[in-house]
Amino acid sequence: MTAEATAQAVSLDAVTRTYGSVRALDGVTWTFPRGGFTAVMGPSGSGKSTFLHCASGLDRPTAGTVRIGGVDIGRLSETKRTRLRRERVGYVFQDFNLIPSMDVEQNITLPIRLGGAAAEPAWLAEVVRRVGLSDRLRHRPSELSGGQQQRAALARALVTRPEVVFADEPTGALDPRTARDVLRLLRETVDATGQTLVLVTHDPMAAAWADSVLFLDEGRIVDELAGPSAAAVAARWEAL
Amino acid sequence: MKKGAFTGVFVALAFASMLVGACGVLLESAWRAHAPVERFGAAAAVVTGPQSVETRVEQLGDGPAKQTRPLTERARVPLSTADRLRAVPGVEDVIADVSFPVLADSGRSMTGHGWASAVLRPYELSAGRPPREADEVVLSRSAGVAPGGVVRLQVNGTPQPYRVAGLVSAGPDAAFFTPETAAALYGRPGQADVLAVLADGGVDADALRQAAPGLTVATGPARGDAEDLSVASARRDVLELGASLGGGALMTALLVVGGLIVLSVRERAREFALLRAVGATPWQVRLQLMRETRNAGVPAALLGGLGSLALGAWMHTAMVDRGVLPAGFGLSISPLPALAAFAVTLLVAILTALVASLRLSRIRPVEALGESAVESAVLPRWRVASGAVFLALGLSTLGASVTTSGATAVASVGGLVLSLIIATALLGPAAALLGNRVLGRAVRLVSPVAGRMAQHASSSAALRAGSVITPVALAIAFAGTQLFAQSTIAHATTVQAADGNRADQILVSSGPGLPREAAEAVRRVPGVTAVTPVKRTTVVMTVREMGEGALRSLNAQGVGADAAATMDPKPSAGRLDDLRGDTVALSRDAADGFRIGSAVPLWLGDGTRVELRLVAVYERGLGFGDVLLPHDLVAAHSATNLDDHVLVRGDADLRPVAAAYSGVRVLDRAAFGADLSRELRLQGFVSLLVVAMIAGFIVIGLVTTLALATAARRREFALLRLVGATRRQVLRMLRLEAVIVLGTGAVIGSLIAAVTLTALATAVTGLPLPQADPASAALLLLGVAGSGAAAIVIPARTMLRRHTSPQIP
Repeated sequence: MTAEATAQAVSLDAVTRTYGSVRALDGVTWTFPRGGFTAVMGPSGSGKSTFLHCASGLDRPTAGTVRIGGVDIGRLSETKRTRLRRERVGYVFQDFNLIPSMDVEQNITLPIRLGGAAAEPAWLAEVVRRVGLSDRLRHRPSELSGGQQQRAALARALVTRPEVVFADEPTGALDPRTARDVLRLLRETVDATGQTLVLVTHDPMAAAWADSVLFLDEGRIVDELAGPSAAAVAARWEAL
Repeated sequence: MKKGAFTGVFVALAFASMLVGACGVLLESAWRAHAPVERFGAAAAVVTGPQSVETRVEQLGDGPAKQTRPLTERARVPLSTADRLRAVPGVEDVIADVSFPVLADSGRSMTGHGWASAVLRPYELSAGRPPREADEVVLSRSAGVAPGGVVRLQVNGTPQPYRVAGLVSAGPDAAFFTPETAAALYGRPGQADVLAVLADGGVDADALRQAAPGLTVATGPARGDAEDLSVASARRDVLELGASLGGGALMTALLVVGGLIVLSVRERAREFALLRAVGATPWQVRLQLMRETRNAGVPAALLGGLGSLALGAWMHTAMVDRGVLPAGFGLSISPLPALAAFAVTLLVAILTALVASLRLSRIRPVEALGESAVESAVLPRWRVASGAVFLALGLSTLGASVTTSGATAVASVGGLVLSLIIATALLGPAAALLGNRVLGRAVRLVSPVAGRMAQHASSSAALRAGSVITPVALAIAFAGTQLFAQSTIAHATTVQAADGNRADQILVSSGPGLPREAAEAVRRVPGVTAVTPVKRTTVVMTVREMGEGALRSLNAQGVGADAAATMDPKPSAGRLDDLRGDTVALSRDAADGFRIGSAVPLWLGDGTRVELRLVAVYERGLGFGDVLLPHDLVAAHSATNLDDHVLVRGDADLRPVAAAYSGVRVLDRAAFGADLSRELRLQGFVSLLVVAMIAGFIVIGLVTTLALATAARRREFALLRLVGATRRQVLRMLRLEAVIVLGTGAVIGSLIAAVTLTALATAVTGLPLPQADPASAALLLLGVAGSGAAAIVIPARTMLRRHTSPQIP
């Protein structure tokens, strides 16, 4: 690994993804620096989801290269790509996607167990304490509130100490107050541990928590806004 | 695995394991079957003629192959061998055993032997003394005649008086004569049925074999086969039956369990996609699915394996009770079939899960992010292409089966069903769309609102509908063909026999048969113009099937003089009048490859190989059997000298002749119905068994699949209720959807069965009129479609009742 590669968590180079005749991503080049908190915004159909899938290794681009921690994922087999994601990428989804039959601890440690290892007790306790679920470990997802479920999902994303965490509309299903708590938690995580975080959202309030905001339209990056305020984001959003 | 899928897989596997194990019990019994050793219990060894025919038959592609068929009549042993056997060290005595049917005028049937054979069982005298004079006999006590009394016994001719010299008490009814009388009544000079070797100190079987070259030396339990030939000749049939039934059960298990797992995978696509998203590799997900299948499979296969022993025993009893298996065909029960069923079922289950799980590689982790995968209604090109190939294959087989006949046609009909069913499975979703268009229109007329919803639901899920249509069509096509092919053939047999009967009166026997001279006595009655004695037998012959040679046992009749006047097998070439001496007439099927005048090689009932000149080819092969032979030739190579019936032309009063014999009756043509052959009865029973089991199995699979699929639509129903559909509307929609989907399946299945049966009927009878009982057909359709409809509607009812106010789970 080169020094340059290690400075970047994720980099996309001329990434294109087509579905049939639809160009969902059109030659996107971007680099997410290590330890940064970036928000990705765009209207529906702008290619946000495709961008997230390709950047996180869930999907393979039609053309161009994606590197996660310096590794070109286009060259990896499905199984190797899965392992790489398991070790270096964490996900937080809009509707939490916890496994209903497992309790909170089992859900959080699932990626580690899938890798055939046991969770490090100290780190697990640290993660669980940070998301504030220390007293909820034996509960099933159905016994938690929406905010608690999303905290559990975040813990699951963090437990493998990933290169980068992708959060896809993590506050979309939450009320404003709970949403703000979750966003504050994300911000604290980045500040406290240097965790790289990519947040996909169409909520200017949420995007304002990030270090910078990317605007995506028709499969291309059309603008970047550094050190955003909610008002600035909203203004830029209106112009799209 | 969800509870529903788990239950479905569990039930299907338990059933499969039970069926496979039951077939295993039949197979094992056939493998070990020997008739019980009773009459030869005291013999150290029994020497018999070769009871099977073996020959090399030319095969397509790969050279000649060895084929064997068992003989149904006894291959006799020359008496000269007895002296050579006596010379073997350790042999104390050799008894030439003969058996022949004896009919007392009380109507009681017994078996006649020489008194020397009594030591073999041994039969011991309980009163009186052994027979010494030519007109003396020793009877079983159960005959009810005291020593000194006189009894009239019928063997070869009219009943003759015998004085009872003594009685034996144990064993089945027997009559012992002096050796000379027995040999005379037996009527085969210089021959015996078996040579029984007596040796107290044991004897070397190999030394006996050397002394009796070309003959079979049986010791231990195998001696039973020499007593009762029917067991040995039924063995092969049961082996074939067990293997094909077991194979069918496994095939069906594969389909049913495969379908269930595919369905549960589709239902859990989101869960699997989520696992993939958080870092499970495709193999980890596959292994989990296989583990789950194993968890359901182990207890299911174990339970089924245990149950299979009971089912196998029941099948055996039922077959013996109905006379499709000989009474001496014993049941062997060991843990082996249960273990085999357990292992095979589990293996099949896990392999099926593996194959089904290969789809998982298509589940993209991306789907975890979306709401759910939309089912694609577009069929992959390979599926359409291979479906079309099977459809074409089926149709070309159809062409072949209407232009050929007999065994070839029956074999091609089997292929026809199979290729049509595979085509249905491949093209199922396309068929679903077509059926949806046609039936959907009808349903919409009935109920505009719910009908439109139903049509929409069943078309938007064409893949799911396709996986329901296939088993419905399969069950109906399969059961329909099995049931009605049998009844078509049985009906054709009876009709042909009746149409070809030109006799005015028929002499039949209620005992073992008619003495040969009865036919001669009838001939002398004034007013009788033609008399034909008929004697049934089985011959072994190489016939051409699908272009290949195959050694077959064929039903044959030995027919006496005047056959052309008393029977009409519908000759298409040659003349029945020429059937005398070393000649033969063949049905059109058996005559494939021969011309009038060509030499036909075949083996007679006792295994004697002959070459006969073909003098006639006839059409009514089912009614008359495939082979007609001169009566004298058959009589000389059969177990007994008795005729089965005598066909008579002329209106003379035959009652005085009949009265001169025991157990002889005179029937007119209408009262005489030919018995179906044992093969047809076996086939009839097996058809029922197969239909009950395989079709039942398919229905179990269908019901679990449907129940599972309906339960999975909880969310959809709740949504419909939320947007304002009443509970009644949702249920109505489901009922109409069931009509569309099950109706399409039933129509396709009925079409397949109809096409197949028409082809079969054309092949065997020349007329495209299959024989189908409307009540059974209706029952079949109702049974399959009804249980399917119940599986859709009942879970939906409970689901909708549970939520009085709609909410999305």
